[in-house]
Order: sequence, then structure tokens, then C-alpha cells
Amino acid sequence: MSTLRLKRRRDVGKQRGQFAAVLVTVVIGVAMFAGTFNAYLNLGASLDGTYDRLRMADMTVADADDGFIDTAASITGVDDVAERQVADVPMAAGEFTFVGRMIGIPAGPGPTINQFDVDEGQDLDSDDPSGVLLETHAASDFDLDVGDTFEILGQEVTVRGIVTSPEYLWPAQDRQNIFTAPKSFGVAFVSDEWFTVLDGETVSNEVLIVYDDGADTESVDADVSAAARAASAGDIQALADQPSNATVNLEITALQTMAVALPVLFLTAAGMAIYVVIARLVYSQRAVIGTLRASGFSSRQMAAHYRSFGLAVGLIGAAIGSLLGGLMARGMTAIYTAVFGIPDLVASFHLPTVLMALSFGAVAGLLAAVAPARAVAKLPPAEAMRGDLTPADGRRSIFETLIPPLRRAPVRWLMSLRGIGRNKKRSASMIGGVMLGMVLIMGAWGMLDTMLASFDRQFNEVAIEDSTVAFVEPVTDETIESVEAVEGVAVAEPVVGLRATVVNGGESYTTLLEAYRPDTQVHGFDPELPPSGTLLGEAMRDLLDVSAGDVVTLQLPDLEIDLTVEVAGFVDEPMTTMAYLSSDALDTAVDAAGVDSSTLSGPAFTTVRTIFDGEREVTIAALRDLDGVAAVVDSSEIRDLIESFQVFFYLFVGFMLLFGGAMAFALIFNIISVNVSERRSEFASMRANGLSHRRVARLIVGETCLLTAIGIVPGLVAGYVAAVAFVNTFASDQFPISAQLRWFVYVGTIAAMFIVAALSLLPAIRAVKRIDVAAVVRERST
Amino acid sequence: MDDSVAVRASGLTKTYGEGDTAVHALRDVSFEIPRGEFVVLQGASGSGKTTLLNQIGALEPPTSGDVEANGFRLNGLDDVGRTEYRLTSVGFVFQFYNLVPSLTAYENVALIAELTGNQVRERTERALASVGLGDRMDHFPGQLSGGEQQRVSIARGLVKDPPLMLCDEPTGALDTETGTQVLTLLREITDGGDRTIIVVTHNSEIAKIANRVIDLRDGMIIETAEVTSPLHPTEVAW
Repeated sequence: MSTLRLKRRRDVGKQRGQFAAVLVTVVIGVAMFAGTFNAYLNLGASLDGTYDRLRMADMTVADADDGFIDTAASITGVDDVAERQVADVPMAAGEFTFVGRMIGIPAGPGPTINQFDVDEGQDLDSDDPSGVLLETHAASDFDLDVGDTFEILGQEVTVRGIVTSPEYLWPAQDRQNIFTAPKSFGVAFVSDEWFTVLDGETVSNEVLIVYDDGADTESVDADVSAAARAASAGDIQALADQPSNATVNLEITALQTMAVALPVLFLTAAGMAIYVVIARLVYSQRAVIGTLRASGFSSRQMAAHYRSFGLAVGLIGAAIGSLLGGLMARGMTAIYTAVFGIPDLVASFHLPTVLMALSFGAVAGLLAAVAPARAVAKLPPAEAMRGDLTPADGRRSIFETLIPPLRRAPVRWLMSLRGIGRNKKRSASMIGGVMLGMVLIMGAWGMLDTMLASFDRQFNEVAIEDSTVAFVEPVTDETIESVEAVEGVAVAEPVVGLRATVVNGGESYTTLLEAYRPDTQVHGFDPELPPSGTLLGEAMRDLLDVSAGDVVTLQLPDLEIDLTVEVAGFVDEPMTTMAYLSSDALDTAVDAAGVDSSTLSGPAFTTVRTIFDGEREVTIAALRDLDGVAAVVDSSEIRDLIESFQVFFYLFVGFMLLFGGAMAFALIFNIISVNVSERRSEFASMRANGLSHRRVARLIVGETCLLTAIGIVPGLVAGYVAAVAFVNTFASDQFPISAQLRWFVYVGTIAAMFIVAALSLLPAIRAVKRIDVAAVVRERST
Repeated sequence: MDDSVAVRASGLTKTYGEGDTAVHALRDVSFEIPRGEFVVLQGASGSGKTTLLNQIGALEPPTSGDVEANGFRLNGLDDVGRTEYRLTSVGFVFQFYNLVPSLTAYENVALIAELTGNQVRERTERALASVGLGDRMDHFPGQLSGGEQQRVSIARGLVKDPPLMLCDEPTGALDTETGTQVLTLLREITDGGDRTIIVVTHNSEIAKIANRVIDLRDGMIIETAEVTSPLHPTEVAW
């Protein structure tokens, strides 16, 4: 080992606390990159693997004209097509009645597209007409095993097998309801014979289309969509818009963002910490540097020596971080694939990611050491050896210039005020550390608070119904009265729901149209539901390039009519993007289009939404006992589901607090340690002159609190921007949330930063207490 | 302790380390220093003079023995007591000044004045005026010469009006002319008063301005000499 390497090892040993803090920051940054980026790649690969194996449809077209399937098959880039029937029908399992989705599949060989894994039991068999396959989420929600029975359309069926379907990895009922209440929805795969008993209104005929490997998806999507529109398709859904896939992809996109954003934050913090530590090392070793230069070492050799500190800590941190990141990636991939029930787990550790992680660590360390190393190269040996007794320049702080009465403050206050200007780069690093910590904490916390606030708004201000009751027969005034008569029901209103495509010029958006009574009490509208004209979800403003007062077309495939309506305004609803009309306006428009508006009361279109004033469970049970009820969806179930997620949300925030805190701690700890080490003689002199170590500690606490407070101001702005960016990562037309940070996020983040600063101070305060006053007062300050 | 005695040391021993590596910095040192004297502790490097000064200033505890000064018995004091002693009884002057660079001359002195009573401004200005820096009070240390910085550090010690000033090589970092000015100042603040000044130096010429010279070698006092006619600082050269 060369002597300089030996020196480096011992120098690091002497400042092991500071180098350890830097190392931890690099390790966390690199581990986060390696972990999240690998998890992102693995989750994508797992999903793609499942889709490929089970031949997930690239496009699904519903209710197109006859002959579309042949047209689709002939489109360049299309590999395979298949037809199937789908219907949402009443189902019942034990005490629960719900709207289930019945998907027809050919008995025997099974589907060729949108296949599934039979996890338990066996495939359909034409010799077992009452046997059905149940999607795994429904089996779990309703506690059904192979051999158990439940009802479809009032007929008892037996669970022949339990399956995992790529279409329902995330069990969303449709794009407008990605959070579906447990026990309110389920999917059963049945033989095609089941559909012969249903009327055409209820059944949707779907064409599933798989593209060639390597096909230009965008181009084929466009060709198929054009053909589907020409064939008057009711719904055209590309894989990207498929509810389950879109939800899982939101998570993958968020992982991708985290894989870039978090490591950048940590490596920036690590870089600043490395800079602070090496700059201090160079300053304190000026005499050594001068002596070595005088002894024959070139300036290049000396600069390389000090650069090697940064490089070494960066590389060692990156190596440890890569290993930890590998483990983290396996764990994260396993958790994600388990949460989404992705059957094909790909958990490989990608070599390019390792190389990138190592490069990031090395580059961060090297860049941070460049400036101190350059200072070494420029140091004249004679001056360095002589040492410098000239004190650093002193000046009044900007606070005293701005507020002159401050000059009369006690001197110990002035010391704290001026302390922040003594080493501007170091103070800037500390402010930067506070900002980075706040970006991480506020970004994560703000994003989750936005979600919780959005859920709260959705279920307490927008969708305020307590239950939705579906019937097997048309909903009439008598039906409404029967619901109102149930004890515990305060309000009962019919709500019409129709599949709709909103068209403005060349742009279109497929969604649901809901029609409410003009004076509805079951849905909160802001602005109020107008007597005429439609309210559109806010996301459509950009998607369709439409403004209030424009006229749009509502294509209603269920009624096979198009309505032309004026856009009366936009509603900002956090969890859905729909179109709304008053029921009177819909009736009038439908009649004018030549369709009997009484059709709307059909069970496929109209449900009854209620608000309770009695005990929930008793009222729900009474509603289920009403004649002709197909399903009762208890709105509290979805609220409970979301509340159950909150534990995980806060765990996530806790981790971010931990990581953000650790990052800020590492940087602030290093800066304070360096500060105390540089001012040992000054503090020792104060101690000799009668200041207790507590008074000296209070000076350092004052400076640190002041710098933390200064960092908090831009930190709040940067944190808010980060939260908005994180929220936008998750936002989509299905989930059109916008950042809403409540007061406690700001207060909590500020408190967290002060706690981190306080913790970072503890070692420094101990160091002040341990200063050997007798020895230090005789030293030249370095 | 007799009121005429400023400092009394008895059986003072200070050992650093232990076993084969033990360094005996002071070996059973006993002496008395009368109030109002200018005393020089001199000796070669490693003789124990700074260690003795640190003992008198309560900067570190002795291994055995005791020091009495200004009504304090230092050996029994905890950290709080030692801090209180230094605050009320001792002014320090160090070779490298150790001023706070971010504070002006006035503020460096006022920092200590604020801890030791009222009339901070008056006392601070008086202390700075007494060292000849009445017109340099708003200057930062970086704007002052070495001699001026040392005078600020003397004012910082004086502002508490301590009965004892302890100076460790106060001219060690200064040229001859500036050193002479500093010594003259130190001499002036004892002449005709009760304040006792103890100066550590390895420079035997400085001993000529003292009332009393204590010679140390290998941690022991080898000679204590009273100087009947001390020279004025301007009369010595080194």
C-alpha cells in the first residue's frame, strides 16, 4: 500500500463519523436506484410475461356491427381475433347480492385470447352445465372454494375452478370505477349457453384482438379503432386503457419516476456532504499539503489524492448500495406481483443497472471532490506550510443590514446570525440538505395526503350515497317508493347510467353518462346540475379540447342514438371522469331522438341510490330483502377498503420520513461536525473565558436552527413542487387528482426537519463538551 | 488564605497517561503568588509552565494537590464550578488570540461582558479604551493587526475585571515592537492595583519586567526570584 493510500485510510478513520454518514447517504441513494429501477423492470417484465403467455388482448371492441371481426382480422399487424359475450347480471353468494360480470367462454379448449390460469379445480366441462369458473378476487371476497355454490341470475351454480385472469389482476369493474367495493362485484367465466336466456340489451358482444409480435402498436391501434368506429362499435378499448392494466401501469410509472427522482435526491445530498467533508479535510491539512508539495509531490498527485476520497466513498457506497438494491428489488418485485396477483414473477437483477448504480456512486463522489481537489492543486507550498493567522473576514449579517435594530441584540444572538455567513458554501449545503429532505418528505407525504383528501372528497362530497340498489326489473315510481319505505332509508333516487362516448370535433372519450334528478341529494355537484346541458369531468376539458358553451355529441351505444348537448360546465371529481345530465334533460333528449325514454328505467340502466338515516347494517339487510333486488352495494365497503389502505400509506410516509430524515441528518450532521471542528479554538477560548459548554452549545443550536429555518422557506416551495410532480405521476383521466396538501403536511415536514436538525446537533454538542480546552487554546485555529 | 495572596498551590501534581507512557508534567509543586504582582513563569519547552498556568486557570484538573485563588479551592470543583471560577476570577490571553472572526472587536469583548453583569456597553468600551482600541471597536479581527487582535483579547479578559490575568505566550506570535506594546499594556494594568498577572514565556528577556519569576524544569520549580527593580518593557529587547 502506498503511503498516500495509508494516509487516506487513516484520515478516513479519524473522521469516520462524517465519512460513515456520507457512505450511508450514497448507499441509500444507490440502493434506491438499483432497487426501484430493477423492480420497475421486473414488474414490467412480469406483467408482459403474463400478458404474452395468456394472450391478453391488445384491443377490445364492443358491440360493433356484424362482420367487424373479419375486418379486424384482415388489418395489417393483427395476429388473432376472437369473439365473446359479456353481461353484468345479478349474482348472489350467501347473504350478498351483487352485480357480477358473466364472461362467456367456449367449453373444452377454453379461450384463445384473454386466457387465464386455473389456480384451483378444473376447466369448464360441457357435461357440467352448472359449473362455472370464478375469478380469484371474487372467490376470496365471497369466501368461495371449488365445489361451493352461488347464484347467477337466480340459478345455483357450482364453482368448478378458481382462475387468475390477466384482465382482472386489479379487479376494477370499469375504467370509471377502478376502486370497486369488495363484495359488490365479481367475475365468473361461464359457457356460452348462459347468454341465450338474456336479452340483447344486457349482453355486450366483444371482439378481442391480439397484435403480431413487434407490431407498431400505435399504428395498429389507430387502424383497428378506425375500423371499429366505422362498424359503429359501442366501446373501443386499447390495452393501455384496459382498467386493470391501466391501474397496474400507473404503479409501474410511479416506480419508474421514483427510480429516477429518489436516487437523484440522495446522490445530490451525498455529493454535498462529500464536498463539505473533503473541503474541511483540505483546509485542515494545508500544512501537510504544503510539506508534501515541498517534498516533491506534484500538484496533480495531491489533487488526485484528495479526489480519491470522494471516488472511494462513492464506489464503496455504490457497491454496498447495489447489493442492497438487489435484495430490495427482489422484495419489491415479490410484493408488487403479490399485490397485483401477477402469476409470472420475473425477479432478475439486471447487470446494466448494477453498472449504472456503480457509475452514479463514483460520479457523485468524484464530482463532489473536484472543487476541494482543485483548491489543493492551487495551494502554494510556502503559504500552506506557514499557516495563516489572518482570521476569516467578518461582516455584519444581511439580517442586521435589513433590520438595523438587530445590531443592538445580545452578542450571542449576533454570533448565531453571522455564523451562517462565515462559510457560505457550507451554509448553502446545509440549506440544500434541508431542502432535499423536505422534497422527499413533503413530496411523499403530500402525494399521500392528496390521495386521502381526494378519497375523502369523493365519498363525502361527490358520491354521497350510502348504497346503490340494482333491480332485476325496470325501476318504476313504485320501486322507488318501496325503497323509500324501508326503515332507515331517508332518500331514494333513481340514477341512470349509460355507456357513452363524448365527441368534440375529432376527439372522443369513452366513459359513462349518469343522469340524476335536478334536485339530487345523492351526488354532490359543483357547479350544480343544470336543467339542460351536460357537466363533464374536468379531465375532458383537455382531452377533448372543449370549453363551457361548446356543443358536444354524446354517443350512447346502449340506446344506439347520438345526442347533441351543450357543455354547461366541468366538475372536478377526484376519482372519475364522467358526463352528467339531469334526468329530465336526458328523458327529453332521448324522446327527441326517437327512443322511448321509459327504456331508461330498465335494470341495465337504472339503479336506486339511497341515503340512510338509520342503522346501516339493518337498512342494508332490509334492502336486500326487497322483492326484485339484484344487488345492494354498500358504499361504506369501499370507504373501509380505502381506509384499510391508509395503514400502508402511512407506512410509506414513515419510510420516506425515515429516508428523508436520514439524508438530511447525514448532511446536517456533517456540516455541524465540520463547523465545530473548525471552530474548536474559538469555542475553547470561550470556555476558558467562562462560557459554560451549555452556552456554547446554545450558540451552535441557534445557528443550526436559523439555517434550518432559512432552508425551510425554499424547502416548502420545493417540497410542494415535488408533491405536485409525484401527484401528477399518479394522475390520469381515471384518477384525475390534483395536489391538495393539508396544513399538517407543512407543519409535520417543518417539525421533522427541526427534529432531524436537533438529532444532528447531539454529536456536535457532545464534541463541544469534550473539547480539551487546555490543549485547544494553544492551537492555531485550522 | 491570606488576602494578600492571589494564588496558592500546594503539592500540585499533574500526570498525563499512565504506566510506561506516563508524562509527569508537574511534580509536587507548591508556591504562593502575592496579590498585585506581575509574575513570569519561565522554562524550556516541556518544563510544565503551561500546565501550571492551566492548573491556575482551572482548565484541567490536577492529578493531586490543590490550587486556591480568589476564594476558590479548585480541586473540589465540578465543571460548573470551574466555569464559574473562570468567569468571575480569571482573564485569559492566548498566543493565537482566538477571537471570534464574525464579531467586531467591541462584540468579542461584549460577548463576555454580557455574561458578567450590567452596563455592558460602558464596561466594554472602557476595556477597549484601556487597551488603546477605542477607535477600532467596530473593526472585525480580520481588519486588525496581530498586536491589535492581542489587545482585543486582553480587553476581553479585562472586561470581567478579574483579579487574575493568565497569559500564555502573549507575544509569541508578534514581532518585537508589537510585543513590547502588548507587554507595556499588561504591565500597566497591574501597576498600582490588586490585579495579578501571570505570564508564561520561554523568553528570558520578558522575565526582566516581572516582579517575580518562577523557573520551572521537568515539572518542578527550580527557582523563585523576586525582582526588586523590574525593567519597563521598552527597556528589554529580544
